[in-house]
Amino acid sequence: MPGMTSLGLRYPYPWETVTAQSYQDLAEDIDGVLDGLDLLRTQARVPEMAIVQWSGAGTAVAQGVTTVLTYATEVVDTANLANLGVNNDRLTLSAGIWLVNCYCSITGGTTNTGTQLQFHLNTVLHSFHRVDNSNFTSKEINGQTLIYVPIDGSILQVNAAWFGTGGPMTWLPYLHAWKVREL
Amino acid sequence: MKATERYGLPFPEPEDFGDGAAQIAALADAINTELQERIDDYNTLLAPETYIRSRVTNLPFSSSTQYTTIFWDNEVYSSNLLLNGPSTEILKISTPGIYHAGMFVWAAVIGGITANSSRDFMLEFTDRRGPSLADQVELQWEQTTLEGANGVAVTQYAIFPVYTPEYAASGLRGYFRHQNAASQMQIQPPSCMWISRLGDLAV
Repeated sequence: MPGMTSLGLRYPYPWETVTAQSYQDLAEDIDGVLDGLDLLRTQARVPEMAIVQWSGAGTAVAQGVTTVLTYATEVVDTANLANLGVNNDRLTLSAGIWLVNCYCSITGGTTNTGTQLQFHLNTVLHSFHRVDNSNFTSKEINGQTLIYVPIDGSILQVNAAWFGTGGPMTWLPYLHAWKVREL
Repeated sequence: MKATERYGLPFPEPEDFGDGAAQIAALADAINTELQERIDDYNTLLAPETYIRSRVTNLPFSSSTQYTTIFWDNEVYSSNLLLNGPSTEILKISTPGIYHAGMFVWAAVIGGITANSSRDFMLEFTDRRGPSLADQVELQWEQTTLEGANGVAVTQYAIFPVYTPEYAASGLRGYFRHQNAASQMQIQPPSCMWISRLGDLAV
């Protein structure tokens, strides 16, 4: 029965005979630890993240009606967060801490007294950014937040709303989610 | 026994043969030390220090020209034991580095609205870089908006260096002030503030 280091590297005790197997055991154990190290390196180099964006006409949002934004293009997706062919209004997040950002270009409407962009986790409002008292017919809005996601498979959606006259306004969203860490 | 220059991995010299078991054990221990150091580095990199607090009750603010601290009455997430303990006012951290921080604040009037009155939000990191007040650096990021009829909510974000978080004064605060003379305002749930480590200050 050989000795073993804290990482499981086997070595012969002084009273044991050193054989070819002794060297093979150590080499194979080092291999195994290096496999684990490679996994950590890959996680560090390629974090779980996705960017999705509008395509074509974007999302039409009527005055005073909170509307879930939709996406048509995966810009990047390292962890299968998006499946736009099935659900084009969401990213599916694993448990962890996530940094989320959404930028929207907005056009249309006649007058506008307020615009807001809401982040929802599993359809519950998490945070939002609201620009008020700003008459415009073409504008951008940008919001970001850090989200604590307690369970795998949680759904991130961004809702849009505006207040004023005319419309509907066209929202062109660009959504980014990046996993900061495991819980 | 000799050892490699870079990592100190031991190897036998010609006269050392005959003590193979001890040589393999020494090599295994040395390799174990080097591998463990790298595993620890990656685990630190993949689990950056992070702290999130929020509001779960309304917090009233009277109209003022002076900023007032936002108190956070709920801990959402804390990745480590904080050096100076948790605080309802300050988000503290324990390790020097580059950090990102931000807050989401939802402010609503309790009663009447003063048309076009301002609402100001400020994120501030106090970095005490030495024992005296003169060593203190305050980094501030402000955002201003005007009230319409729909309330106000902002998200803010900043990236900055932190040199000496061990001083009790060091930490992240959120501030709010408003000019809504017609009534008080309140910071409402789920407003929140966070800080998270991005990396080291130097190679």
